[in-house]
Amino acid sequence: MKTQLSPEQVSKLGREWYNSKIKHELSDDQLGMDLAIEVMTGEYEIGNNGLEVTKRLHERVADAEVYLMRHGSFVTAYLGFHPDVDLSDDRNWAR
Amino acid sequence: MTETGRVRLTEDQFRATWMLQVFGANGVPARIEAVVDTGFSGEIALPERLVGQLGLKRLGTKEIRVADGRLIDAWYHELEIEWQDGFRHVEVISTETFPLIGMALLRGSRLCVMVEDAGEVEITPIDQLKA
Repeated sequence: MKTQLSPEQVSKLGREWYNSKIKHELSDDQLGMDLAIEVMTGEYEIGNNGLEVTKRLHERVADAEVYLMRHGSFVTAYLGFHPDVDLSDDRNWAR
Repeated sequence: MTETGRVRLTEDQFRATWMLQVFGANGVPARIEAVVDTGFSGEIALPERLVGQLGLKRLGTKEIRVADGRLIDAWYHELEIEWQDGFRHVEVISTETFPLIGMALLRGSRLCVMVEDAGEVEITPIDQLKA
């Protein structure tokens, strides 16, 4: 039966699996690749397309609860531009 | 073929819009007016209510950085759309926003916007420009 986890709970569990186990099993060559994590079991798929890795994981795990990230980054998209730099430091934007 | 959209002027605000042909869970077609948002790095964003009306299945959760720096957790889904003389399966995030087309969908395209009321919006595959 599918769990009733909130998106926040799915993200929290996904981050825990990544930090405790998965990142140690991946190589630097895979940095930036799409990583889908099943948050109840810790199983995962990695590749170059978020939809494809997600679907592969759903095929392997019934009723999968999937957290999608990139190897090396939890943020997968920006909605309204926000640079990941310190805006109080003029060196980050003054040219 | 170069497709066209329109700039809309509403309450002194310009928005570059594009009519998207989409197909819901049972292949039912629908047309959605989306804003072309170069500050959105994903493919498509839709309001949760519209995702529900289209019957899109939830695939998972992802984290998105919004303009004020906060991280939000959003469901994502798969949606079939008509795009540049073909059909494409794209990733949709559901969040409280106007329908948006982002840079990941525009990848490989040239975007031209005439910023005036009813101005043309053109999205052209770069390959066509080179041919």
